[in-house]
Amino acid sequence: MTELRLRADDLHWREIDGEVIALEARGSTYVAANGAGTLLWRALASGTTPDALADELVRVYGIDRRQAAADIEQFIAQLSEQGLLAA
Amino acid sequence: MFEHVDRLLAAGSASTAMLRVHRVELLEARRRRAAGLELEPDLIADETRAAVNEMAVPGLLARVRAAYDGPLLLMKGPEVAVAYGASGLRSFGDLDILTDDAPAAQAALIAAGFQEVFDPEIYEEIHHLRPLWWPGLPLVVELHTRANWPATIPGPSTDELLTAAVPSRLGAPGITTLPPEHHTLVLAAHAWEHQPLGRLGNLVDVVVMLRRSDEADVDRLARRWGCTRLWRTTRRAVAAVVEGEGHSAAVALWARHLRAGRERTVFEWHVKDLLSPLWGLPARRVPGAIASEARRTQLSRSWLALRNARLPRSEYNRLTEATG
Repeated sequence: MTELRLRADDLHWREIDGEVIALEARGSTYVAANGAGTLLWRALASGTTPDALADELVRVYGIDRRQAAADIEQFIAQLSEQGLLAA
Repeated sequence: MFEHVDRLLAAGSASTAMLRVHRVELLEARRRRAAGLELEPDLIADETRAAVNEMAVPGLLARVRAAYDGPLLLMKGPEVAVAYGASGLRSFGDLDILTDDAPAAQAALIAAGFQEVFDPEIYEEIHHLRPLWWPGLPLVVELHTRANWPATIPGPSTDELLTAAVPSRLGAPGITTLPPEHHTLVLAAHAWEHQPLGRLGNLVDVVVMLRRSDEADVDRLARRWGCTRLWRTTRRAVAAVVEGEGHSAAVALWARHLRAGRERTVFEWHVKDLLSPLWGLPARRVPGAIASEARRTQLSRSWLALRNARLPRSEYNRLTEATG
């Protein structure tokens, strides 16, 4: 399965009080992620797969697996659209 | 490094607004986190803002470097923040860059897409040109023609500072900074010029840079730059307030607000104006500075100032504005 990973260049991020704040330096745009987003962001920083991300959501939030997969698909699409994932 | 500052902050009851005035709000956030105390939303917002600003630095420096070929020496701000030993402990809102030909550099940056911001009148005949903003980034760039230095003290030339430059600790290609000894004195003089012994955070800046310095070299440099008294006073204040060692007569007489983490009162402000030349200026400049301040005080201060001597200075200013 394809590995998903955050882009390494020109993408800076920090975690403040359990939430991710990121700066995409090429376009000077900011991204903020809430609790669940932060969980996924951390996994994406070290490399992961959509299935593993969905498993993580199920494990931490106890949500339905199909719902988790749909949420992951939407989250990945947003990151991809903003060019935040490694090619 | 911040044990004594932590004790001051823990003992004080400064509001978040006052912590920001003293530029120690992020140290207070760190202290509260380390102690397992709750953080109010304002302090979390300050941490977030500081993180965003820190993240914006490398990209902004790269844009400045790409736009201008001359020397670019970064002072204060992020270069001092990195000396705090961890991210998110020292706030800044601009990049202070000393260069050989500031007007040419300003023109080059504008041609590259930077935009001038803020009222141009503010920046006429001061030590830096009008701030420059890169659309979308939170920091501004200030190109300096010289280091900010009290007018009656000779200080270093821009050439001398540029010649002494060392690579920036931020690792930004082509960006330099001052050696710690030079930087320590530039920080002390800049703070003095702004307001002698005015902010607790300015003293913390000095101590973090001083700890990377050879203190004997700082003393020698201070003699060469004609700022021995200013440096000796700042050093003693740093020892007494930030390191919890020794005694500072200046702090005891006209900078007691530092330990309390509060604002100077109207009375303390006047005492500072009258006495700080004794502690900061070269001896031959002191009589003239005190006489000038005394004349100014007699002419401009009214019974209103005397009646409100114990008010914080900002409240008094609001009062005088309201009463015209």
